[in-house]
Amino acid sequence: MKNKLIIGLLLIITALLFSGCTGTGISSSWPGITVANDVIYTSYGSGVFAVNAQNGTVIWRYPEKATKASFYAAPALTADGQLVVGDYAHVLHVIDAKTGQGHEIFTAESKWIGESVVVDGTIYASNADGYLYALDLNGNVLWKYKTESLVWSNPLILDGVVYQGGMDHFIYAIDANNGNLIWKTDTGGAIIGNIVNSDGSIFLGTMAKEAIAVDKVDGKILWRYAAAEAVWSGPAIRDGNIYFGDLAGNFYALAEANQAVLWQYKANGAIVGTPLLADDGIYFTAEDGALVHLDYTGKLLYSKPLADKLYGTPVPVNGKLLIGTTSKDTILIMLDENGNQVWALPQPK
Amino acid sequence: MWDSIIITPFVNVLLYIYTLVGQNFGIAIILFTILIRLVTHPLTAQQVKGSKGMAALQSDKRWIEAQKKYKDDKEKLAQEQMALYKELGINPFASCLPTLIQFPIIIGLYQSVMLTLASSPIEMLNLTKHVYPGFLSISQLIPLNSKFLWMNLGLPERLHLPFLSFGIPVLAILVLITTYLQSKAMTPPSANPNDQSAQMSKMMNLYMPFLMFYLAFTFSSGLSLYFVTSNIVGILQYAALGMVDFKKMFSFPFLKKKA
Repeated sequence: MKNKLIIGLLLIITALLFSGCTGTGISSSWPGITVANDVIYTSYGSGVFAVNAQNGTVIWRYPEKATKASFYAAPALTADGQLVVGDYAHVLHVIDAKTGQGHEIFTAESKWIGESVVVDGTIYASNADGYLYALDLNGNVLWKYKTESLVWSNPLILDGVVYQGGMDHFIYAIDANNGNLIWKTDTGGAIIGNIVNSDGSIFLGTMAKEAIAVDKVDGKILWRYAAAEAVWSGPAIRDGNIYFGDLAGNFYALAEANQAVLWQYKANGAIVGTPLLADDGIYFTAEDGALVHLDYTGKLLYSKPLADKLYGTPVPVNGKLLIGTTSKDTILIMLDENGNQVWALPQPK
Repeated sequence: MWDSIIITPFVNVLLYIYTLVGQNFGIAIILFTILIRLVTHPLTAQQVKGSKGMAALQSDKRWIEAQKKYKDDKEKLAQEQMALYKELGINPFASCLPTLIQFPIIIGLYQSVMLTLASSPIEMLNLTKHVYPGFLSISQLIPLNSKFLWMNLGLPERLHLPFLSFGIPVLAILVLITTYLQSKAMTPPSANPNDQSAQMSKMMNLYMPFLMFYLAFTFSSGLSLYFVTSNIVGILQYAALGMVDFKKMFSFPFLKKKA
């Protein structure tokens, strides 16, 4: 009896040690957030949650009971009120935004890390299995396009063309109707963050420490800007200026016309999320857990410690600011216009 | 401290091997595991020497007599045991101390493999922090090629055959077999198979392979590859140290009983 107890304990300790070392239980990413009609839809850990934007109460969660699946990509809201979201157990789900009732529609070969985009009833979703999929809302594959490696970044759909960045260093322009390749360009570094559009160009950051502008028509690289470190964050554009951060915590403001550096700001942690360009200034999060607020001349308005670590993009909600965190006890923090906490959503059990 | 002494150097060596072998992560894991087992071979040798000494001591007449004579006087028994250790030049910690030193290295090796597989955004961010900037270029390393044979090393492994509706967990089965064989190779024959420690070793040898099978079945196949390589190298190490009786290792008493 005593022997069995000791053996049992030894096996449990070994199992805990190994499972602890694999990172099980540690967050794999940060909350994905979508906001519509005063409701926040957030994917984090074991589920997707609908949260009242006024007071932070949970309206519903999907699935009702936690499964082995984990969700981190922001849900895409369709015109008829459905949410499309992929999980880390390779499954793509459709959920009724009102009731939280959902079902699985498609299973890929790997994790859904990037967000899906729904345009005219077609889901465009990239998977870590390397495919960009076009699906209908029942999960039927309309077409799929195979890249050379994993795909983590979100697709951007403009005028019937899907622009997709890949870990394979390429940016692809694909016909949204049939999945045919229009052009592809080697950027020299893995693309993880969002691709953004501005007139004739698209902008992106790469892990090869560059921000790059690409011609939308032929994929020609228009210019490259060498940052100090890898650029994970997708850039944001306002009034002809481009704003982005790098993994060393440098935040850059460039003039789109000549790529002149207007100013730089140094945060105390890696900048991973795309900055929010609001009327009252720029907001971005840094890995040291601070929300940084700058004006458009680069002057610091405040740097507010909110959590152990912050990675996502701040989201504006009715004049307030929503921040997703990876802290042990809180997943969302709503701030008022002065940066004071209005409510916080505790880590769901 | 743990990161800078163990994990970061391990990650960089692993990634360096990865670049040397044409960006094949499977071969990099195999070579890195062999390298670490070779570097820690003196510790393994010391452990084997210690356990051989302990096994010899347990079959010594004086030891057996002392166990019987002083079974109700633990203090006296301990004194007699210490006297025998001294006389025969045996250090009772010689077999467990090298194991204790090796354990953090094994855990570090395992953590490095997991960290380098980086299959989620936070894992990828962690990886970027562990790469020495002047030594390796993260932009050249990403994407890490996690394909090896039929496996994606970042995912649990299953071999799908056209005539089967389910995937066969080949690596997990190999983990089960090699863990069992290594446990058998590592366990020295006991003078008294009915004593408490021999019974415990026997049960551990039976349960541990199933636990390892479960871990290999559930977690990334990169980890399973490390388990299999580590087990095979471990068996070869014990064989080189004269500890393995292959005839005995491949005999399965539980199968015979059933037959």
